[in-house]
Order: sequence, then C-alpha cells, then structure tokens
Amino acid sequence: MRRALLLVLLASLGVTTLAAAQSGTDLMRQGVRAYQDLDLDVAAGLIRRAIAFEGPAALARSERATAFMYLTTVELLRSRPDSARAAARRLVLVDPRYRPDALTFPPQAIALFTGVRRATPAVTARAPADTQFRPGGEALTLRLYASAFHGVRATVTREDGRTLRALYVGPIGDSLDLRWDGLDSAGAIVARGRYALTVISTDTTGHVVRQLRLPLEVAPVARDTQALPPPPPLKPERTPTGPALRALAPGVLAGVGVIVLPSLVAGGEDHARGRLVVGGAVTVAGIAAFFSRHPARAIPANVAANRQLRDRWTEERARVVADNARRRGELRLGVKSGDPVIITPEGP
Amino acid sequence: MKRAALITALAALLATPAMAQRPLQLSAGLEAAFTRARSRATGATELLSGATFGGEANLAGKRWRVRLGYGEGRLTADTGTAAARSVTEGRAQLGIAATTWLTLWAGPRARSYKSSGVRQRWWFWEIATEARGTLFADRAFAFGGLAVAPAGTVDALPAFSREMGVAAGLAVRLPFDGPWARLVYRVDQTRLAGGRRETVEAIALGVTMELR
Repeated sequence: MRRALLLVLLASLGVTTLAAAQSGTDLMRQGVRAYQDLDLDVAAGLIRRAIAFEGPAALARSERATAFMYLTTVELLRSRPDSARAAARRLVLVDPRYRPDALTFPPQAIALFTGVRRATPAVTARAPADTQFRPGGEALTLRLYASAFHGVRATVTREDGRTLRALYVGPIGDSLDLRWDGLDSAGAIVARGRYALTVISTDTTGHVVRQLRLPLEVAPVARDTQALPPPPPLKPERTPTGPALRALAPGVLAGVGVIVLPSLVAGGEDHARGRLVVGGAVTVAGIAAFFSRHPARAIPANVAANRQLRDRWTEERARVVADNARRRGELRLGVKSGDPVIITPEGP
Repeated sequence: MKRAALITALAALLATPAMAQRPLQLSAGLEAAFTRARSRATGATELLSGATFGGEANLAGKRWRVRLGYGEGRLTADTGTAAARSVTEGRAQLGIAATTWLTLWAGPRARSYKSSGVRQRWWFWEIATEARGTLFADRAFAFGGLAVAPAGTVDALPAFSREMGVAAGLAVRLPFDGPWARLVYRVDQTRLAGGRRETVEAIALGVTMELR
C-alpha cells in the first residue's frame, strides 16, 4: 500500500515537473543551456519548440527576437547556413531594430545577421497606446523603424484596406516620424471606426516585399466641461425683523392681556380704568423695543460687499459658460493603437 | 392645615439650595397698591377701596423658585354703608422654570379681612403660570400670569367654589443698575356657592432689589 502511494506521489511530481517545463521561456532556457554545452542538435530542437509556442505560454517579443538570434547562431554552428539565414530573416521581421550582443554571440553569427538585415527591408511602427488630439490642428505621431535603407509607402487605410490618406512615400533609413492630423485625403475629419497605418516596404526595383499594419481605433472625444460656480454666500442686506418682533410680542400681549383678561376672569364687573394705563404703558414699551431693534433697516456695508460678490460671480459664470461652449464646439479624436502586424507570407 | 402649609413652604425654601446647580439668586421688593374690593351677593353690592402695602422675597435656583409675599392695608367703602375693613394677604409658593420665559407656581395663598373686631379668613390652594418676555435686554421686560385656585376655604361664608386671577405688567431697571421698578395690574375673583362673588383688583407700583 505504501509503495503504491509512493509511486503515485513520484508520478505526480514528474507530471508537475513536465507541466512546468511546458512554456516557451522554460524551453528557451533549456535550449540556451544546451547551446552553451555545445549540444547543438538538442539546442536547435528546443529553441524551435520555444519559438513555436503561442498563447499565454508564448515568448515575449524581446525573448522571441533573442530566440531567433540563438537559432541563427546554432544553425550556423551546425553548418546550416541556409537555415541560419532563414532564422535571421525572421528575426529581422520580428524586430527590425534588433542588434545582437557581441558578448553573447560569436562574430560570424553577428556578421551573418547583419548581412541578412541589410538585405531584408522591413519596418515596424510605434504609436502611443492611447492618445487624443485636435484634428486638423494637432497630429498623431507615428514612428517607423527600419531594418535597412529602403523605400516605403505609408498610408492610413480603412479596415477593408482602402486608402484613406497617404502620409509618406519615399526612402527610410533608420527611423522616420509620420504625423497624421486626423483628416482624410479630402480634408474631412475621419469618422469613428477602425483604421490602420499601413506601411509597404519596396525593394530597389519598386516591388512590394512586405506590408505592415498598425491597427488604429479612432473615436471622437467630448471634452469635459467645467461646473458652473455656485452662487456666493451673501451677507444679509437688511437687519432681521425676528428680534424686533420677539421684543414687540411680550409688550403687546401683556398690554392686551391687561385690558382684555379681566373681563374673562371677572366678567360683569366694572374694572378699574387705571388698568388701561398699565396696559398702555406695557404696549408702548413693546413698540419702543420693536423700533429700537431697527427692523429691516438696510446695511450699506453688506449691500456693497454683496454687490462685489455678485459681480465677481457673474463674471466668473460668464467665463465658464463661454469656455464650456468653446469646449463643446472643439472636437477631439481619441486614438488607440494595437500591435503591428506584418501581413506578408514571410511574416513570423 | 396651616401648619402643614407653612412646613411645606419652609421645607421647599430649605431644599432649594441643595437642588440648585448654580448660586442662588435672592431678591426682595416692596410695593404700594391701590386696591379695590367688590363683593356681590344676591341683591347687594359692596365696593371698597384703599391703599395696601406689601413686600415679596424671591429665591431662585437653576430651575426651582420660591417666593413669599405679604401685604396689608385698609379699605373703606366707596358706596353704600359697608364698614371699613383692614385686609392682610400672604402667600408662599414653590415654582419650577419650565423654560427661560415660563415658570409654573403652586402653593397656598391666604387673605384676611378684619372689620369691627371680626376676622374673616380666606384660604386658597393656588396653581399659577407666569411668563415674561424681554423688551430691552437687562433693562425692561413685560410679564403676565394666570392663577387658578381649584380648592379653598372661607370662614363664615357659603362654600368655596373656585378662584381665578390674572396679573400683567412691566418691569424696568432704574438707572445706574439700580433696582427694578414694577408696574402691575392684577385682579382675582372668588366664586362661592350661592352665586356670591368677591373680586379684588389692584394697580401696584413697586421696586425689587437683587440682593445676590
């Protein structure tokens, strides 16, 4: 029973190890180790398998370029120059800007790669992943990198391949900046949609040797508008009437009470007329207290201060309204770019 | 009965300092009043008037109040042949401040008439409410109150039915932070069984000193 369990454990361990090795990076690491051990056949097989990986386990772009350079070197050392040149050509297509490390690769491999690079016209393109610009006034900058001096035709095309705007026709050396202002060939702002920067590389005779497409997703963008400023907190422009009324009420109530309440408490009696003096005195005192509070009297200092606040607020509001109107009328294009794709039969 | 009321008033007076949350305020005042008393019974009316003089002391804690009052004077007949009489009145009431402007009072009030050597005593168990409102801060306020005595006794007269009274007036602080001068009108009417009504009204002028 224990033996069976031990076998199952070891078997699962072995499966786990194999599964862990099933990624492009791991195979590449093993291939490099085999290359360093001069086990060139094994190295070639492992590196090819590493390059062949797709999906999440595939090599990254930079790893892929390095893998092709190792493959070029291995094939050269295996005395297979054609295979070495083929690997070098694919490396150029993967990354036209690639330059091998002289400390890692032997001089003859570097020389072979350099010769292939010069003979393989290829271009890659870079663009901001996500950017905005004002069509017609500003422009989207697209940078091309070339493997060697050659001629290119760069156009912005629709999704179906039809040309929207020609950007450049001519030679390219190391790199070239293209600017697209978001307009088509008729000068109209392009509509929302999927477009592409298409770069066609030509040889010395003008024949198309390669085509690169950089996907561009274009959408108009509405600019944010500013919130209108809230009305300013204003100071009271008149003295409140509340305190004056609160002073008036007790006097009037007590005065009226002196005159009226005796009839309710002791109805039918002839009450002393002197009570009218008391009631009148209390009422007059209440009225005097009311006016001493200066109810609803204008406060000039607050009126002036409020006028200044209102004027400033009105100006600021008008400025924001005008700015918002300008922003609403200003169209901007948002552009998202994807990964460049080489769509020739030679493409990797 | 009288003893019990006196003990209650004194107990309230002594208990108040312990309950108060702030130093006690003590005030005392004197007043002179022109008083009219009218007695109506079936087919007969007596009207008397005269000057009365009295004093009052107030003790105030945070919410509790105690007031003691005393007054006396002599009333003479205005009409008819009613005999002159001397009047004596006193009260001891315990109050609670419901709000800053409203105080509720309860306690006994006594009034005595003496004429030709015969004394007649009136005894009321009274509850009252008194409100005041500021006219000028720390300078003047108006006040008014309503009192009801649902129970009481009267010597040698038909049975007590009810008593009700009102008072209102004006208090003004005299210059230089002097005492408060008070002008007040008050009237109360006692109804006895058989339709007899005793009405007493007064217009009083007094001063009140804040002692502490």
